[in-house]
Amino acid sequence: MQSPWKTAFITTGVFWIFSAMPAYAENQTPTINANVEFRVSSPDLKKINGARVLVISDNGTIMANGLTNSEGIWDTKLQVTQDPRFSNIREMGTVTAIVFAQGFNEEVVFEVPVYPNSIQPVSLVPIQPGKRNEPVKWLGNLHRHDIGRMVDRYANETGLAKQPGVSGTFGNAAWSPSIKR
Amino acid sequence: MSGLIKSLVSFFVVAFTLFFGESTKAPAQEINTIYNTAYPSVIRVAIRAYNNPSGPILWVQTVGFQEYCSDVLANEWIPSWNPEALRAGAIAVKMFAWYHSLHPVTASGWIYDVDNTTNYQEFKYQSGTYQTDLAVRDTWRMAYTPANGEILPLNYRSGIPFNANWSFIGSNFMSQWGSEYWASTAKMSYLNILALFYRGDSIHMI
Repeated sequence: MQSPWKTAFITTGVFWIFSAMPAYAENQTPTINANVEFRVSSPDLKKINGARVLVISDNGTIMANGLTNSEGIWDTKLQVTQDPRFSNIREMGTVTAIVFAQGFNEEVVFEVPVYPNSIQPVSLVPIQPGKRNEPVKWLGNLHRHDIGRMVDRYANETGLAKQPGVSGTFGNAAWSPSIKR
Repeated sequence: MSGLIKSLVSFFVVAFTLFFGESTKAPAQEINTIYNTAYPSVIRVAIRAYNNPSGPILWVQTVGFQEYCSDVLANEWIPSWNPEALRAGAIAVKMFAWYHSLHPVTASGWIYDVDNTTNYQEFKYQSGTYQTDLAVRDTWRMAYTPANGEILPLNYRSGIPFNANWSFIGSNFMSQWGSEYWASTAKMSYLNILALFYRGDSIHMI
């Protein structure tokens, strides 16, 4: 026979676990499993074999690394958390990549998008005598339409007004710094 | 006497025409049409830093013309969009590039046909996807021009997401989001989508 204290302890424990579960679920950011294809080339359109690509996660750790093949391609599967800035646009995470290749400066690519079958081209800068030859920084292959929708989302959330259209232009007007009345 | 004067005047008129007539006439500007102009084999792309329209030109890349179209379409249209929207986009991207390859510019000491930004069309080398490459190949033998076949740019803009973009209809500017809307919602073909936005032009096989 169980003691009343033991029964009360177990009941309280079970209650606590079940009551905490919804909050736990809410705090979990969705995970995305996807492959990213890195395509590494030089400015004169040569595909670079044997370039090493490091992938840095959003918590700053190296999550993958590998070498490009003779086509300059390295394909890798990644598991990343959803980037909340794009959560209303598509299921997408973002990582940072660093690329090293013989005869070229290192290249850091920020905001590499990760979604099914995403592609990240990387054009490396050759090491040149007499130049500073420092690491090069570049931005990831975020799509123009995703950027436009992200801007719309935050402008709408802030309640911004659109700027008046400019003659000679066609299409959407840009957002203004003013709040809508 | 008056007969002599007339003869002299006629003589000088004929002589003037013979000596100066051709050189005073403005040279006729031949227009580039799909009938007298082949696709370029390559196109010169000025690479601006960060694909930023105001960025400095870092170098000029000479790219195969079809490869250029493939590496633009993936950045201008979303690769997961309806294939008919992608085909309409492929034709617009190609006609725009073809026109500019015939009208190069010189800036900051560089000679180029287009740059890699939305000053022209967003280009990223090796960014083509399976779907967008397919759309470029499917429409490669097609040109979209006025009746005389003149090679003119097919302009386009983003437009409003998930919207018919009525204001673009018949404007000679295609809405990219509009092309996706009409392909997905109204199940229109790429030829009908092009006809919707570009008034008076039609498809030609080349």
